[in-house]
Amino acid sequence: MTKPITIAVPKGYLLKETLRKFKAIDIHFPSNFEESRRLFTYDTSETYKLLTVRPWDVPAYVEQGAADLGIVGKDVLLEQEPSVYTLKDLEFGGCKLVIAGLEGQSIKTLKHHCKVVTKYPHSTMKYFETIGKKVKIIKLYGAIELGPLTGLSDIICDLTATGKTLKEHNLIELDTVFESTAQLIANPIGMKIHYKEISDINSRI
Amino acid sequence: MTTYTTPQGISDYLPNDTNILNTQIIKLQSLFSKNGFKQIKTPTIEFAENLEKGLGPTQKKQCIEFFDPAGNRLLLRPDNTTPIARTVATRMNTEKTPLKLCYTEPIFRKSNQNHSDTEIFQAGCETFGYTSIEDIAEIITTCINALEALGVTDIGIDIGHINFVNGLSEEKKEALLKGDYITFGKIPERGESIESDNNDLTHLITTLKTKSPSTPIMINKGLVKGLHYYSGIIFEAYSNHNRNIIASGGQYDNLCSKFGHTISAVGFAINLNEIGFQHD
Repeated sequence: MTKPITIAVPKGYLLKETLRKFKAIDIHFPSNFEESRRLFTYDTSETYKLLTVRPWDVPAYVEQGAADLGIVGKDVLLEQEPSVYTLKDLEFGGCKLVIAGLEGQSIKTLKHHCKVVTKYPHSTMKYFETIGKKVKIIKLYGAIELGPLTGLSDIICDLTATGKTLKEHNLIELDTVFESTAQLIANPIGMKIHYKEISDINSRI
Repeated sequence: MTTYTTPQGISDYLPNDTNILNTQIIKLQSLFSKNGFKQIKTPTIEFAENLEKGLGPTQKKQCIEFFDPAGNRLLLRPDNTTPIARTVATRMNTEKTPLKLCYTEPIFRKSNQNHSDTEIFQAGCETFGYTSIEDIAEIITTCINALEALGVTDIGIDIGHINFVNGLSEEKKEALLKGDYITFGKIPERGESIESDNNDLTHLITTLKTKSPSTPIMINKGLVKGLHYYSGIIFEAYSNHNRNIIASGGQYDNLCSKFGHTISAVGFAINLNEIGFQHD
């Protein structure tokens, strides 16, 4: 097989952990790659090609087959529901998607048609469908915590790891939508072509 | 500028594309005919109530439906196999078997959030009243030969069996269908020879290896299809140059009985959109 196995990884914390995990199973990418501006690199054996992409773009690369493997938060997978194989929970990058609001609010007392700001409209919609509440979802791309403070929304649905940012904005967790960790995903055809290699990585990583 | 575009998942095919598609279809029709498959055409529009007898939940959700002036629910055929099974069961049930039919017709499925095609050009073969593993092998080798005739290289075949999945819990079946191997518990086994007490499968693999020695044939214990009508051996074809399944098929012995006539059946369909004829 001449074509390298391509792996899409988001820059930042997940990339750092990924490089460490690969190093532990003897797949070595250049040590200065994290600091460089390059968007891809090869391991020393040139069997693996690493792409650094935006977290939200990892499923697209894997689903379309531009990458054989990807490492991505479960939150992104649940939000996008891409047609990929999920191979393994890598158990790092732990965080959770929560519903949060101001002191005194609770899920039970939320009014129908209350406004929710979120980066996760699909997951938010599913959550409120499950509990049987009709809400207005407003999609934002960041600074979600501003929603209730500025009157843009009543509550928020956002990702939190430590809860610190929520606390700093006087927001309290009302409920957990789901918990998330980094997952190893594969393109279904890439999985057939590189079955042995991918199974091997999956069992050792 | 207004461009008067077509709906999502639906395309125009300009002369170059049409020429490629037609050339592909002519090649396939000639190959199918040489192998003894007779062409059949079923209508684009069917009564929903009738066709649904043969459709599973996933397929029903993908159907494009509308009403006729009398208020009957109609749908655009979401595959070719079900309408052909309906026709065979109702209008060709006294024909001599094996009854070998082929088609080159588009199907229509709702485009999903990943912008999949709504109109999918398919070509395929079906053998009704087959009796042996050799008949199943003939379907698979015809599929391989058809893909080769279309210029597809580096073809691989994965073979599964409904029995690999039947004993599993609903949760595990669902996980396999979604490709959720975390819930399934492992990456499903796949290899040239897998511990299996299924003699049909062993026999089929041996036959295929003789007929198509250069095609990698793998048994895949995780192979599942969203189509509920498969009853035994199932298979899919891929190529190293395509990032989606290019053809698939299998045994569907219980489909015709949904339309009132019990007869064994095995077939395949090639997705011509995936092979690629659209360039302009």
